[in-house]
Parts: sequence; structure tokens; C-alpha cells
Amino acid sequence: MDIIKKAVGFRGDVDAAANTGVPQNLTTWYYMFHKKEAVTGMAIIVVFLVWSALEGTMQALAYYVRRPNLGWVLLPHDPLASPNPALSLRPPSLAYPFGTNLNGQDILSRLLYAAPKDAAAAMVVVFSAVVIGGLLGVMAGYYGGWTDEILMRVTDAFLAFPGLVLAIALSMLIGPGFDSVLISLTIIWWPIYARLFRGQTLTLKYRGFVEVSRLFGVSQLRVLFKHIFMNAIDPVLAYMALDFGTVILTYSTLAFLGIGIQPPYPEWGSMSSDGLSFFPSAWWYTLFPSATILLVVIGFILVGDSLQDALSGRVSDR
Amino acid sequence: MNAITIRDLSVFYRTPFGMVKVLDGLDADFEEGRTVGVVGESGSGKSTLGFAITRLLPPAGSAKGSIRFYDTELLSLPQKRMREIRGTGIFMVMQDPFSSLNPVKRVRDQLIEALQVKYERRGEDLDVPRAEKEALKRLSDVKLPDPDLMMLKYPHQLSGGQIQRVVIAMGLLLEPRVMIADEPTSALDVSIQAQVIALMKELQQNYGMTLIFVTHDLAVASAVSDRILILYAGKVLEFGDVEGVIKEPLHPYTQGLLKSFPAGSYKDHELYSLKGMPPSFFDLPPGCRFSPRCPYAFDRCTKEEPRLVQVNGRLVRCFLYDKSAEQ
Amino acid sequence: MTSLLSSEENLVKAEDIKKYFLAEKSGLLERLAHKRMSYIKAVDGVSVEIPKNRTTALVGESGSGKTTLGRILVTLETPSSGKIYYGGLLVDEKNLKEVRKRMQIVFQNPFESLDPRMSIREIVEEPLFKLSADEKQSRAKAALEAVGLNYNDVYYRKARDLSGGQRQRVAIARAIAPNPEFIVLDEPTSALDASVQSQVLNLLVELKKKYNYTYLFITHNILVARYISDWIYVMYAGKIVEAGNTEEVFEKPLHPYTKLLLRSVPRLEPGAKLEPMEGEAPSLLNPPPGCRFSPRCPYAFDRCTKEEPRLVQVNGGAHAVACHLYDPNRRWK
Repeated sequence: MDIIKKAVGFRGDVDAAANTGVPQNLTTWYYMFHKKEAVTGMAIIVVFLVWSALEGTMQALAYYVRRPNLGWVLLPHDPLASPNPALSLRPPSLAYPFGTNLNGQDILSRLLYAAPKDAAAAMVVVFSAVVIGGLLGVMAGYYGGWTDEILMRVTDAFLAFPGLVLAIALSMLIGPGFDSVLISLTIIWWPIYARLFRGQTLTLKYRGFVEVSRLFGVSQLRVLFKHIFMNAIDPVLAYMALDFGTVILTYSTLAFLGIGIQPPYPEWGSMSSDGLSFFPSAWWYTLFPSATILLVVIGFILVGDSLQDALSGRVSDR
Repeated sequence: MNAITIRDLSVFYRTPFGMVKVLDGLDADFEEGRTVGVVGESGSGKSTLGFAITRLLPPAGSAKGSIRFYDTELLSLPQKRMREIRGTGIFMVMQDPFSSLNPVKRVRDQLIEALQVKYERRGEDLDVPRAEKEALKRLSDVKLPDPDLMMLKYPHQLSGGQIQRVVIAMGLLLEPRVMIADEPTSALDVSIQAQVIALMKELQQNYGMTLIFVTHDLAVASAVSDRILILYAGKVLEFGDVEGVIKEPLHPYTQGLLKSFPAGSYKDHELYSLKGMPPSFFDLPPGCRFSPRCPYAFDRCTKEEPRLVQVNGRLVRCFLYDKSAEQ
Repeated sequence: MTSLLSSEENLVKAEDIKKYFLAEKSGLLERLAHKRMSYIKAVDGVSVEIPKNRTTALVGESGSGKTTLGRILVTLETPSSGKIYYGGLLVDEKNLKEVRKRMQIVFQNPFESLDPRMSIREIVEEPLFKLSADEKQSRAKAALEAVGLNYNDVYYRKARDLSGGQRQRVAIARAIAPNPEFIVLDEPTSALDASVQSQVLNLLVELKKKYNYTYLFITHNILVARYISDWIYVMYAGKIVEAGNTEEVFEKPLHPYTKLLLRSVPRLEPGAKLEPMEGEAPSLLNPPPGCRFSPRCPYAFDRCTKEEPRLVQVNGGAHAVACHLYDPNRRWK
């Protein structure tokens, strides 16, 4: 631990930093685990992701062995229980920590049940966007010419529209369902990454180590991947962390508007919108779903922000 | 009369791993109208000195001690008063050219702005055409090609060396009482370097400007300075007249630096080089900070830090000269 | 120009190299309208010879074309016109790959030239991609040790965790690992502190002696050039203005530019008057007519603004200069 303490965190002297002998990775990790915001954010995300992985696996299992109740074995109550007017709109209690909805279903269980969908949406959309955008962006930046022109015009077209509007339009076009929402989100998400990668590539391709590799006779493909892509992704990583949150927010907004939902399956966004008509009397109905979305998104923002600070060296205490 | 007087200056940086002390109890006098060359390698803290004087340390940095600008104590000054001093009182040319200029303003606007500040402070009115002429003259003084075109450019259209020259031109326009130049010529060609140095000297002659020239290049420092201050790992190792320091260096570090200067041909001799590297501020060696690399180090050097002592009008920090009793 | 050396002693020879860069990127419409292209004449008719096993210095300020020429000689750029000979063979697309195997380059800024994501070991092994894993490792290890680094301490580290001097050593290790013959060093010590500079220069001299390399040392620091080189070429505005045996050129600089350069370089002389040069560096888009240095030259006369001087040998030996003051035809009109 002592060794890790001996590293430089202040901006400026690269040589002084190197003199300490501690690699930059360690200083970044150390920072992330000690700054309040970073730790809080990571705690939220870890809980969210671990739970989604667990519950998601159970749901997949339930589907494949055709035992639907496996899907809610970990939950306090059956999220898809048949409507029971007796339990309808119960305020939060010990048995129902977040209250019940109109159908008498436990809101907490429904939130937990819907979680994997948001996690999946975030992962799938962001990673696909990075891969597609990365590929196209690096090619356009490296080769220039017509490839670059076409890519720029296409991304211009996509970026000219407010994302949400485009997402709604696309979803309508592609049709209902969870998969189609993911597809439409991916389609509108990749252009910004293409732009990010292209920008990075433009500076990277003139860097000494790229030229030296050319001289060695290293294959074009290897240069593109190992040198350009892997270096271009560095500044993108912090953006990605933030982006997971944005995807979840967008996805929930779509669900709020009724897009991509498949009743009776719960979605955080649609739960929030359902509860709106009962506000403020049955305040728990819309509050808890909204709060959950807010919490998870903030978690990603905290992590993304701290990561950005750590990587750029803009660190200070408190 | 000292333009800047520094006593017991310590500068700390807060890092996630604890506090680092970069400058430690520094004392220095900068005489009015003369030039002091502050010579140090990377990691010596030389830039930090400039930032401390102008109170432009990053948020993680803090300074303790005393920095007097003529009669005014700078460290306790409220921000508003400090701002009044910056520019025409103390002007700093920073090492990183790209962060010195406002990226969204043209060169012309920034130079005119500087002149505005100067005239305001003198109680004169700004005559824009005259100001433009002054600005153009200074731009051509620093050998920028096509000064009239240069005025209309934005910083991102200029190279590092060009930005550096624009900032120097700005300094020349402001006619500050103290100019702190941090590696102002490292990005410039030798012929332009000579020109810039001549301009700074001219300002000194005409306006009695005090120049603090921070650099790692001992040769440039010797051409520019009246006195030389050798900084190593945040401590002053030697301070004295340029003639003395260069011709008869006292401190082993200074001697080493002088010996490493390329001269003659490889066929005749190997270049002298100091072994090892400057220490990190997190891992300072016990006793004298230079001792691990010093060819003359003896027992006491690794136990105690030597104090600054006077030898023939020069200050040296070394046990070869500090004959005080052992602690 | 007349050769300074016999051809067997030359490893690399460049004949009448010109490199012009397009001044502005013209868009489609402008190209269709046949807008007249303006060019930056970075290198304008330069011929050099690089002798084997020796260090040749290329000295000049920014805009002189030295970096461009260096890059052309190491085949990173193709000249707009002119020929390059390597080991007596004309370099063309067919033998380019083979020729490249025998040369290497070390850049000025080691942070730029080392991939920040790769470990030191990967960096040094990169040029050796055709060898087996074992061979790669042993060669990389040998190269790193040869530059004075402890393999076990650094092989896993990343470039950003090393100091400037160490990074430059890694760049040198990478250059020597594939056993080249010819190494171009572009300002290798300009970004380093004084004490580190001496270490690196000593290292380069030692390596050259041990492995018989041929160096092309590009620098703006004329004192470093004097220390390290056997032959020197002084460049100004894309042309060679003086060339020859280093000691001779320093002892008796002939070209006015060389003389002024020597006078404006800071040495360890307290209170020395550094003499700034009059005028500014010339435009490479529209170079001045005749001799490019004439607007700034204190000795310029009528012929200088009309005719470009040729590089001529003087003193019957290893010294050449492009200046009408020394051209034997100078009394001709």
C-alpha cells in the first residue's frame, strides 16, 4: 500500500510522475476506490449489474426449462400475479416495501424483475455502438477521402435529429417488442461513437508510433487495430460509462411513452407512467420506479465523471 | 531595492496519496531591473515557483511563507488586489503555450485587451488605432511573419512557437515591472531565441523591468542573466553572479551541469554525465537531496540537509562549504 | 554536385531530391475549376551522401527542410522528384520493403513515438514480428540492456510510466533490435534535460562503435551536431548551403548563414551578446529569387538576388558551400 501511495496525482510534471515508478493504472484504481463520488457510483452500479445478471439468468433459465416461476423465485412476490383488487394500491408496508400497483402487484418485485432488461439494453446498445461506430470511424479517419465524406454526411443526418424523436420514429417503423427497441437504439447510438473514433484517429494516424510501424512493415490491419483503435478507445471509455446511464434513461423514457413494452411484463419507464395518474394520492406508484431510474443513472454518471477526472489527471482532494 | 523578495516559501500539492511538498523553505531575492536565471531540470519545481509568485497554482496547490512584490505581501492579498497586480505588475509567460491564450478570441483582440488594461491602470485613454500600431510593432519585433495577418488569427491556427511569441509580445506591450518567463524560448529557433532575449533585455534597459528567466538550459541562462539560481528538487543549491557560477561553480551539481555541456567532438572525449535521475517529491533521499548522485558525497551528506551558506558573495547549499557543527 | 566522397563509402545517396507539399487542400469545386495549386517547397533540389559507419549531421532551423529530408531518406515519405540510392541500388517500389528492413528512425519526442498502451516489451518486439517468440524476447532483452535499461525492471511497464530519458532509450532499443544498418535520428535529444542529453549522446556513440551503425543525426543544435558528427550538412529554406567534414566546417565556416548561426547560439559565456539574425525565415511558398538567404545576408550583392548559387567544393577537399562569394565564376557577370 505504501508503494501505491508514492505516486503523483498532480498535473504537470510527467517526469516527476515517472520517477515514482508507480504505473498510471494503479493511480487510477486508487483514485476510483477512494473518492466518495466514485465509490458511491460504483456501489450502485455493482449492485445493479450483479442483480441484473443473477435475475436475468434466472429468467433465461425459466424460459428454457419452461418453469416460469423460476423467474420470480428470488423476488418477494410474484411480479406477474393475477390482478387482485383486494391488494390494489396499498401503500408501502413491511410486506410490500414499495407498495402495490393498481393490479395489486408488488412494485418492488416488479422493479427487480424488470431490472435485467435495462441492464441488457445498456450493455447491448453501448457495446454495439462502440463496435460499429469504432469500425466505421477508424476506417473513415484513417483512409479519408470518399469513405470519410460519406461517413460524415451520414452521421450528420443522424445527429441532426433529437435522439428521442428518432428513437420513437424508428421503433414505430421496426415494430413492437424489446428487440426492436434495442435495434432502434443501436441505430441512433452509433453515429456519435463514429465521430469520436474518427476524431481520435485523425490525430493518432500521424503519431510517431504509427509511422514507425509502417516502416517496420507491420500489416495495415494490425496497425489499425492495435495502434489506432486501442488508443482511440481510451478517451471514449469514460464517455461510455456515462452513456450506459443515458441509454437506460432513453430506454425508460420510451417505455414511459409506451414504446417497446409488452404487457404484462413490467418496465421501469412504463411503471412510472402508469403511476402518474394516481399521483399524489398513491404517490408510491410513480415515485419508486422514477427514483430507481434516477438512482441507477446517477450511479453511472458518478462513475463516468470520476473516471474522466482520474484519466485526465484533474485530481484533487474533496 | 528588491522587486520580489521570497522568504521561507513552501508550496504543497494535495494529491490522493497525501501532501507533497514541492518547494521547501525557499529564500530568494530578485533585484529590481536585473535578471535572475532560475535553472532547474524537469521535476525541480521551477515552474511551481513562477506559479506561486503569480498565485496561479492549481486548486490542489497551496503556498506558505512570504512573497513580497516591492512592499506588498502577495500571499495574503485578496484575489481582487492580486488581479490588479497581474499584467502590469507581474506578467508570466508560461511554459505551455497552448494554455496561455484565449482560444475564442483573435490575437488582435487579446493584444488590444492587454493594452486596455495597461492604459486603464495608468489613467490614460485607449486610442484603438494607436494600440493596433503598437501591437503590430511588437508582433514584428518577435519576428512573427506577416504580422497584419497574424492579428486576425485564432490561437488554434498558430504553432506552439508562434503562440509563445504572441504571449511574449503581449508581455512587451504590457511593460510589466516584473516578467517571469518560463522556458520562453525552448520552442523557438536559435535565431529567434536570440532576438527574443534581446527584446527582453531592451525592456529591462528602458523600463527597469525585473526579469525572472526560468529554464533548464544553462547556456541560455548564462547569456540572459545577471545572477543564476540553481534549483534542484525544490531547493536552492547555488545562487550568485552569473560570472562566478559559470566560471567557478561551487556546488557539485552546478559543476556537473556545466561539464555535461556538449563541446568539442566525440572523437576526443566522452561527454560528462551526472549519473542517476532527480528524485521524486514522494521519495526524497535522506539528508542532502543531491547526495545519491554526488561524486563528493560523504557520510554527513546522507544524514543531514546542508544549509545555505555564504561563500565569497555566493550562496551554496553543500557540506563541502557548510562547516557548521553536526546535528 | 561533385561528390565529396567516393561512392563505395556511401551507404545512402540522394540525388536532387525535391519535396513539394500542397499549400491548401483544394475542394472538389476548386479542383474542377483548375485552380492553380500553390506548393510549399520544403526540400528543393538537395543531394546528399551519407558515408558508412559515420555520423552525418543535418543541421537547420525549423522550415529548413531537414526533417522532411530525413523522412525521405528513411523512406517514410516519397520525394516529389529525385532518386535515392541505398548501398548503390536505386530504391523503388520493388525493393522498398527490403531496403526498409535495413533502416530505422528515432524521433524527437519519445512520448509521441511510443504507443502509450503497449508495454515496453511489446514496443521493442514490434519490429521483430517475423521471428519466433523466443527469438523476439532474447533480441528485445539484448537491445534494452544495450541501451542501459534493466530488462526485468522495465519490460512490463508502459511508456507513460517512464521518464523522458528512459523513453528515449526505449525508442533507441526498438531501433536497434532489428539490426539495422542505417539509423535516422530526428532531434533525439532536443526534448531532454541537459544531464540526460549527455547520457543519450554517449550511448549513441558507444552503440555506433559497437555495432557499426551509420547515423543521420538531424538537429537544430549546432553544438550537439559538432560533438556527435563526422560530416555535416547545413540546410536553409529547403537547400543545402554548406557541407563537409565537421571539424573543418566549424573551424572555417564559409556560408554567411553558418557564421551567423554559430554566433547566435548560446554557449556558456556569461553576458555574451547573442547576435540575432536580421529578417525572418523565408516563405517556402514563394522563396526569394536567387539565393534564398540573400534578404538576410550581410554580404549579399547584385548577383545574389538574381541567380541561385550552386554547391561547389572549396579548398580542394571535404568542404562545399553554396554561395556566390566562393563560386570561382564569381567574377563573371
